[in-house]
Amino acid sequence: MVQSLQKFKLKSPWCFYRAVLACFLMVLSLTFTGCANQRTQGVSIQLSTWGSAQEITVLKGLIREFEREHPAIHVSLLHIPENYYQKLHILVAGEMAPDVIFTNSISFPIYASQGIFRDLRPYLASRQQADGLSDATFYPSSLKAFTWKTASGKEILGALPRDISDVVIFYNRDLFRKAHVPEPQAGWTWQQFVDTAQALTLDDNNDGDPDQFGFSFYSTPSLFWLPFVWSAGGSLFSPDLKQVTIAQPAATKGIQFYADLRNTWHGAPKKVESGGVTMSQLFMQQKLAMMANGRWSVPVLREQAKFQWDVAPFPVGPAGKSRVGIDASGYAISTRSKHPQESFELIRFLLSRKAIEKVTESGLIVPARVDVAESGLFLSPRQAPQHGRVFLDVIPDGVPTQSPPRWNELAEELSLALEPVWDGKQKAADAMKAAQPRLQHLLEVSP
Amino acid sequence: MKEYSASETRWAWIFLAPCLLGLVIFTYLPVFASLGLSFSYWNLLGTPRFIGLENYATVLNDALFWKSFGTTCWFVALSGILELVISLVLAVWLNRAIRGQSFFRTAYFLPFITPMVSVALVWGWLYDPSYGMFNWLLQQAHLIGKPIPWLYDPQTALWAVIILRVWKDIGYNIVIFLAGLQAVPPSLYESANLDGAGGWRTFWLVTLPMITPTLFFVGVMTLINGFQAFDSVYLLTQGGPEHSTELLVYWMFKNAFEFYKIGPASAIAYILFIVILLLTLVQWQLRKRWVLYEDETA
Repeated sequence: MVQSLQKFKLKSPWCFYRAVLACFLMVLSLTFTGCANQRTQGVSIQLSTWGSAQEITVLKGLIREFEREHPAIHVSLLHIPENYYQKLHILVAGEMAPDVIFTNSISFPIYASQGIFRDLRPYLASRQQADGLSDATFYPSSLKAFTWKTASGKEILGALPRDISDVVIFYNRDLFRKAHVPEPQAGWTWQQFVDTAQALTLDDNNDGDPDQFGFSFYSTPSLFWLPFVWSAGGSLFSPDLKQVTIAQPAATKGIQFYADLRNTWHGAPKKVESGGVTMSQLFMQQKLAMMANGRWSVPVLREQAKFQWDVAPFPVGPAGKSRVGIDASGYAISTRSKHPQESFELIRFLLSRKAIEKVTESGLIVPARVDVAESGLFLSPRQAPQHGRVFLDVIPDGVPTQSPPRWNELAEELSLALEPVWDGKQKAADAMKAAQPRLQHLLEVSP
Repeated sequence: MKEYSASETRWAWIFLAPCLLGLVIFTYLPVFASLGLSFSYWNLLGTPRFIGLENYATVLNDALFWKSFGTTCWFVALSGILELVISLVLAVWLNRAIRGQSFFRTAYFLPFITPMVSVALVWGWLYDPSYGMFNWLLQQAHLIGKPIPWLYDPQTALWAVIILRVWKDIGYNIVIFLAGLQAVPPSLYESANLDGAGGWRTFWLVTLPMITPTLFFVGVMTLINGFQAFDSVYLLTQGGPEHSTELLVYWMFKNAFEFYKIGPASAIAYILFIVILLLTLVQWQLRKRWVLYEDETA
């Protein structure tokens, strides 16, 4: 070795030793990873999920408990906090799909249509395997969100729901009190909503630019503005996903209402006014009185908000109902998994009453299990939001998200067509009429 | 050339192996794989299927591709010209024996070696319409009345991205230009001086012709880097608003990893490759007309 070293005239022996050391460490680390994989005698299954640090802490605790109960099963957690579905696509492409995959109902059709998810119906049907889980355990809409009709016409249940995500209006009670504006009540109308948003848009220093805004404004994702379309009696697609219906008068009426709230009635911040600050940040800084958002913002608000807050449903639209999107998130099993049995055991554990209670306790989710949702644990008025029941009350009239397999492209096309509308440069009816053919094309062509 | 013994050659291969292996696995294989994929249908979830030239037809018939192509050309031209002019002026200034020369060199080079992620985070705030420092400064100086929306308006967003690129890249160009400037023999300046040439004439007739090889190199590199720009858009605007900053590489990324259309994305990559290749060939041909090489003067 020393001879070859001299031959190469490396600048100093130190360089060479460093190289050798690096190689040695690499080999060592590889050896250890190898050992880690072989540590358990039994079966090892992988679970992929997104989620905040807090959520992962709860999940890790549950997994430890599961492994104690099932010493023969080792669960490795693959936590993908950002770009979850990109990573999942790559894992599937590389034939490394995790055994148990956490998914939401919006991305679900992309995978279900490609046969990535195993049908969980047989497991649920077998009393012994289901062990207490049945259709009646969950809200029907959450099960429907994970039902997929395959090309051969067979209906499969591609995932079992953990939680329901719906959108409500979070509001700052202190700001309402200060402005002497009555707090929103279930059943409030669009007009009352506009009046409220305007009354809470304030220019304290009289410089012509508001310092406090009435209601949040999001151009994307669509789940924050679609409630207005649905409450006006419109929709994005026909129920059979064959027709784009967003250009119909009822739908554009809802879009126009949301755009007018910002541009005509100045009840919501313009792009220039909010800039790089997110709606959640504005709300936290008490510069925004009302914000459309989901249950997932509850833990942060409980922890950090220095004001009193509560939740209310979206206002009732011209069609006579208050309607918001109902999505679900849940666990699926990959069709490539070599251990479907053990994977289902893990899902069953993660969806058990005990486990769901632990996740619900953190405030993060609206449980898809009816028994936990209706329990004091979820509804307890001792912690904000006082009207937590609102999250459940909006479910019956909710609209399950319609997401065709090419949803990402449709969403991109839609948001591009809507940008001039949100900026008040174009009427919703004109913009949607112009976008209709391309949207229809994207809906019709196969993925 | 020195002959190497068998054992020396063997050791050379062993030492080169890690680097070569990385190059083959992470560069050459993907290059060929994406060529194949550009002729295939693949959504990452199923198996790729050969479909001939369909992806190229799809891409070339897509209005958004052409819009993105136009935006990219505009971006490359504007940022390229600004970069070349500004960095050349600064390099000529720094080349004179001024106080604090090394400080300025470092200062201009610093942005170039700062990772784009941190730069973009900070610039995102600098550009903020209501809280950003740029609008605040411009308003303090009474240069603007209403705040400029910067990243939030299709009229200004591309300019914002261009300004960031120019700021970030001039440091590198300055260093290259400085090397070129220092290679100009002082005797040429002396004789120009003796012949009574002033500052401008000397610059046009001596300095500029003598650094044309450097100018050529910097020009080609700026052009290629411009077409490959991605990170600033990914971090700052995500192609918006209204596709106004949808640069080609970012559009390709969106196709591949947001729409999962690997075929068209690979086709875009190869179209971009051909465009860059053609432009470089054109530059290479034109070079004979205006670039002065030492061996030609000899």
